[in-house]
Amino acid sequence: MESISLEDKFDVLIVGAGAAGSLIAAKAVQAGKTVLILEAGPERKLSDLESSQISARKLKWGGAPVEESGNHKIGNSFNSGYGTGGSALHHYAVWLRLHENDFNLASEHGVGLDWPINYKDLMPYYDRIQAEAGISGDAEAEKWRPEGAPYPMPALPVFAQGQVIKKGFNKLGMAVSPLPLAINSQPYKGRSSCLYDGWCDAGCPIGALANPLVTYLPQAFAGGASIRHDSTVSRVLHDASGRKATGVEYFDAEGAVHQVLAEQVVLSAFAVQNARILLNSKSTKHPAGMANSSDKVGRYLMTHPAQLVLGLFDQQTDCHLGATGGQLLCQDDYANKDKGDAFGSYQWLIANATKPNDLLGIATGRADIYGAALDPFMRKAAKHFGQMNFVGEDTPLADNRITLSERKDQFGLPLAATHHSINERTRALVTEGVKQGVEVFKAAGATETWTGPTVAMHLMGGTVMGVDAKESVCDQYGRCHDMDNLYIAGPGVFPSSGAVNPTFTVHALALRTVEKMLATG
Amino acid sequence: MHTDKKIQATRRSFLKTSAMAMTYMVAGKALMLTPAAARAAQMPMKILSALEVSTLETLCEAIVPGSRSAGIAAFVDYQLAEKPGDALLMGRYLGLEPPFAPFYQQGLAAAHQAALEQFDRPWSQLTETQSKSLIDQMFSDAIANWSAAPASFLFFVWRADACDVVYGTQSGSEGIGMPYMAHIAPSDKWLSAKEQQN
Ligand SMILES: Cc1cc2nc3c(=O)[nH]c(=O)nc-3n(C[C@H](O)[C@H](O)[C@H](O)COP(=O)(O)OP(=O)(O)OC[C@H]3O[C@@H](n4cnc5c(N)ncnc54)[C@H](O)[C@@H]3O)c2cc1C
Ligand code: SF4
Repeated sequence: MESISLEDKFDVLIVGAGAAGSLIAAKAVQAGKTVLILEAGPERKLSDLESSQISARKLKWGGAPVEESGNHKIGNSFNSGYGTGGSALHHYAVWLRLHENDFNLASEHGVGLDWPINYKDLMPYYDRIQAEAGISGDAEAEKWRPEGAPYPMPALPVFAQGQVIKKGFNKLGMAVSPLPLAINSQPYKGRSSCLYDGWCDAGCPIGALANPLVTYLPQAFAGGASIRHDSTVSRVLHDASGRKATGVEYFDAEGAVHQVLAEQVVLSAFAVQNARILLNSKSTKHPAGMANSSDKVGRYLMTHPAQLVLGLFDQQTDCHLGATGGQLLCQDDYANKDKGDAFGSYQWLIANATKPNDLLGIATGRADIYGAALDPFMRKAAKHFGQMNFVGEDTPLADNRITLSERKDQFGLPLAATHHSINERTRALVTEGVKQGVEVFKAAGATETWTGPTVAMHLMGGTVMGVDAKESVCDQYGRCHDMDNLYIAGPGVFPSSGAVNPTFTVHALALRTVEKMLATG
Repeated sequence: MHTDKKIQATRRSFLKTSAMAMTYMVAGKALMLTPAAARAAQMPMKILSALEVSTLETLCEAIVPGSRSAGIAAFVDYQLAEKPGDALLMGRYLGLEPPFAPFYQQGLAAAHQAALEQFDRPWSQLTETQSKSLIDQMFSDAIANWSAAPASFLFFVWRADACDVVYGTQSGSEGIGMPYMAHIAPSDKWLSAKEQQN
């Protein structure tokens, strides 16, 4: 039998040191709680963040393989991080609010699920988070933006690539605004301002981008929180009643099993692994996995269908300048979800800073160019390339789900098996959107235009929140309906995806979660 | 509007590390080499056989000119020998699960077989026209009896690896006129571990 070492007890135990876990840790220690964070991946420091698209890959998911099936696979290895800071360490910091019309899909359109809250419930949390972490943007120019405090910093500059593509939108009568980014356009709270070199995907080592290493983790550690790296949580433990989580079990790098006890437990291991941990936490009290009396754990897995529109322009675009997330935003069609054959909102993230290689690099999208033609193309594109990203809403579907595989990882734990398909209306949304994007590029004067494949961007769902304990896993604060003191944080709790990047909302929800925890525990 | 010059003038200098550098043990000493330097020094391969190396180098050179001398074989070989999860090959984004070696080796064997079947000689002895013909057929999955992952997918993966070593470095990026502007600059020097500490 494996030996299990039982360790000390904490007020709050947090699984995963990413966006949500870091924030909760900081707020909990500031309220005087003892906090332990267990992180599956290795320790990462700012000085590890080399400016290279090749070494950037080491920041990606390095835990147990995730199986993928469906017509729109979730791309877990690109879309997840591993180690201190989680995915958020090298995320692109496009921080957008959900819109009012994102919260009631089922009641307004008979599609998917409703949130148990509305925009008004989240608004004050968005306002507080943007003041704490810092966002640069122009609230007035974002004519689609829901109500809320203006951004604490002016927008980042728009470089030639953005100016060139903007003309195309304007010619077609569409509006663009500066893209709101959790990146400093000026020094903010002791963190330096951006240098516009487009290395965000490799992680920003100068603190200009609001990643957990410079936002909430320093606060957590200053307040006395502890962290254990290379510690993979396998299951949540509970008391005799089955309603109270008593702690978790985890494996260290050598495969030794440990148990840690806590008054309150937070799963913030991102959408897929949170569901995997719950499903693996089977017991006589929880025969289908913990917090799964509804059979909803793992269901409604979502990812934004995304597609690049790319091209060459006569003008010089300086596409290496700016942030990876982009320079401009267009949400002209966001309000109109029901388009007949197509369903969902969408947005354009415009003029992403681009490197020559890697998945989003110049070379990759043109596999048809090789041999002697490649170098001249690369030289031209280095000066004249432009791109923008279509981001569409995913419809929450119960059959898109995370289950446990027959296959096991190095610790003997079942792998996560994910299935994700988009339906015809979502497919039509992408097709229509991308057609519009190509028109925009033509109007902007692109001499050549091409498009990438439809890919998965951001992971959401799998542990959705809701009012009804039979239809959802957790309540509006992330507390599992079946448990008194087990909370879930991260985009896994989203009942629908909207068409905006999720991490600003992840922060706003995590702030609500921890305040609820502190009020009750 | 901001210019490169202005941005570079405000650039902070960070500790130098080696994004592309690979560590080899030679006579008990650790050598940090870039793929190009490893190729120039004819460092022994850890995973790939001599035939696999020459097949990979020749076909990658036909897809991305310059990749042979940039050290494509040393780069791929080094990454294949890394612990699962540590390999920095783009294939990890494309649904490949570690270990990646069987995927590469089966692909190279299929490519070798195709060269023998069509031209009766290995890749290293093909004329430019012959290797171009095979590459065109790989791109469009037109090679009969291909017994590995689809040829067009292998083409995509090898092209991406070759673009990494040719265009994904500071000198490669600057060579096509794109300023690299590193925060933490990847080194293109061949350093011994001792020298690197100094
Ligand atoms: C390349 C990229 C770009 C992105 N850009 C944007 C963007 O511009 N805007 C935006 O809004 N969002 C963006 N995102 C998404 C964003 O990163 C996530 O939405 C966000 O990080 C989710 O926060 P989280 O805390 O739930 O998970 P994470 O930040 O991923 O943190 C989860 C942590 O849990 C750990 N973990 C997993 N399993 C276990 C376990 N069993 N035991 C212990 N620890 C475990 C992981 O290693 C990880 O460190 C991007 C993501 C990527 C990958
Ligand atoms: S572009 Fe700005 S935010 Fe991105 S890595 Fe560079 S300095 Fe950091």
